[in-house]
Amino acid sequence: MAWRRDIVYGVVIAIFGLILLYATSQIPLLGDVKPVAGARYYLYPWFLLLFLLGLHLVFQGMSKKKQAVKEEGNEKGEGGKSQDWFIPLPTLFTLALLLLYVTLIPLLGYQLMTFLILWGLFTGYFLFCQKEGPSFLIRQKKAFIIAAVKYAVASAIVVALIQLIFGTILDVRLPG
Amino acid sequence: MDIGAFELLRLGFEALFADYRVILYLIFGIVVGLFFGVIPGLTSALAILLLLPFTYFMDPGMGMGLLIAIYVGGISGSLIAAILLNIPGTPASIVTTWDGYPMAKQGRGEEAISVGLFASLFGGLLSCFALVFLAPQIAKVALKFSYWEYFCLGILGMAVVVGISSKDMTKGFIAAIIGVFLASIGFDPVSGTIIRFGFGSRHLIGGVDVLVLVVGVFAIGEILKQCEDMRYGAKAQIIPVKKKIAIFPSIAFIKKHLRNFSLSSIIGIIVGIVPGIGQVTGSTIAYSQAQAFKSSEPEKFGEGNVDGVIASESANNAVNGGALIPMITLGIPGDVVTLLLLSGFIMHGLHPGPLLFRDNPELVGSVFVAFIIANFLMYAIVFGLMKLFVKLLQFHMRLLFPVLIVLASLGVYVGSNALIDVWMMIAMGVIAYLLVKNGFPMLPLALGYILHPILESNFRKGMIANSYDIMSFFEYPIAVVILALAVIGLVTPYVIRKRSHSKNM
Repeated sequence: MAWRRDIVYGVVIAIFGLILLYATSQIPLLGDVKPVAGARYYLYPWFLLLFLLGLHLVFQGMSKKKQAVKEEGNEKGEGGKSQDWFIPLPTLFTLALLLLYVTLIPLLGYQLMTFLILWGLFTGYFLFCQKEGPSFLIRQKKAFIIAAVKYAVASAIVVALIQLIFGTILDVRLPG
Repeated sequence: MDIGAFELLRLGFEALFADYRVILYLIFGIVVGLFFGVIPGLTSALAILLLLPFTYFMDPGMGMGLLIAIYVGGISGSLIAAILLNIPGTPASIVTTWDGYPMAKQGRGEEAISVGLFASLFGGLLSCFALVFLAPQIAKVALKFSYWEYFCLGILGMAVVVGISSKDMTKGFIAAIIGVFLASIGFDPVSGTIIRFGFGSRHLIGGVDVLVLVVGVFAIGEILKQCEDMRYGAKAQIIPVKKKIAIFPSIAFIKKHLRNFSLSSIIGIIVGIVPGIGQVTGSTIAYSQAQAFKSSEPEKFGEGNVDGVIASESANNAVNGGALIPMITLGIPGDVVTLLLLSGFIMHGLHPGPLLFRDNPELVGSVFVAFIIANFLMYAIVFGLMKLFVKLLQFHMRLLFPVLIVLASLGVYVGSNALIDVWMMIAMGVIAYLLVKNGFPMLPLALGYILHPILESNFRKGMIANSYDIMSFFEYPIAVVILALAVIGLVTPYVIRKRSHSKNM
């Protein structure tokens, strides 16, 4: 099913190439130099190439599909190695906490938010690495609480170290 | 520009040691590099990324020294995990596992580590020699280059990296053009007055900062990718170190294997000079030569032959010095780490290339001196802290990623004191993650970003200087030769891949 991803990415890239070609055409032509050495014309070949490569990726995906159909015998070519379209939970979890972190720094301050993201990530990753997965939280409440307290202490130590090294010794301006 | 290698070293030594703290920074860099090199999954590139923003506050020579120390430490430290765990600390030591781990299983782990570290030192020092003596000569030639030659050099760097680092060349090209687009955001580099792709946002006027791009793509993108493997699994089995590790192999041993040490190092240097190939290829070629030409027992390769460890470790460390040559003389990085070192120069408003040798010889010398000292320090520190590094092998990534994420965000913020850069870093990380997930290589993207200003400004200035006549390009034979090399560099890997594909069919 790698063909499907190639087609989707190819379409997106071809459209992106077209948008960039249009945006390039809007760059003003100023100054004494001829347009051929101006700020616009140099970029056209690159973005035209991007558009063409996007189309090539689409065709590449289609030919992969034909091959997959031939090899797997079903019309859709859906067999073979499964295509992980979905972003796995730990990655989504990391991304969500990171977005929350940057959003809330101006409101809650750098130290508190850093403590919270560290604690959240430590604890979350701990759960993902358990045999039972996140359901460990319900099945082994006591063990989870001990781990959560341990990670809270670790997070507080990391925040204190960051404050000491960057805030005090290096005198860096911290966010928030 | 008539400054020779020894004069550069003298200037560098004086500049670097004008501040006594440099030795502390070098030691710190080596320890950080070793730490990241030892733990599988962490790389020296990630370590450089995390410390890159903080070098902004340092003297450029000292900052670059710190980054180079991390580079040397990272590549050398990875052999410990490769030998005791059968998992290379960084990809550079994959080949070391082939014989290093079997040696450890036979109870010869200490011998493998001792020989491997000596090979790292040997390869590193030989590549220092090549760097110090070859770089000024290349820079001397490059100083005579005109706009067209520079333009073609940029094309060559991009072509070779796209050709070699991409399994699918279409995706490599696409990644490189995305890099070109990101670099063209903001003020036009030639006129300096026209804003391109600002899309009405004041934040985009200054363009995408190099730090935001590299941290986003190579740190956040990489962490998001590695998070996919965050699941329950058995702990890795470490083979314990029981005996004392000899600091130096015996003279007789070195004499017996001198040819392998030297030849593998020379292979590493040559591979390092060519952009985009990297440590793994260097050590694989060196391993093959050792197997074919050197060892009296070629059949024992893969079963614990010490020549395999020598070849791999000499070559992967020699790649370091080789890769620094095109970066510092021509401004063309060959791999992610040299690209990050180049970003460090750019952050300080400096542009590696032949002019750096003329205008900032003390800085070039500082890089050389830091590289030489870092190799010796690496050797001393790794033995001093061996017990700690062996313990580090048990460290789990889930304990490190949260700290790395916080440090990466802080590093980007410190560069500009604006949270918008942290947002952009996340956006770059997500884009990189989505692209990598579908097989798009990230090195061409970063190289497209770094080389685009060189390409564009030299092309446009070349056009203006030659009365807008593009055919004038053919009046510059060196430019034509470089362009021909670029075509060869792009087509050759494609042809080789096609051939091996049809052979396998």
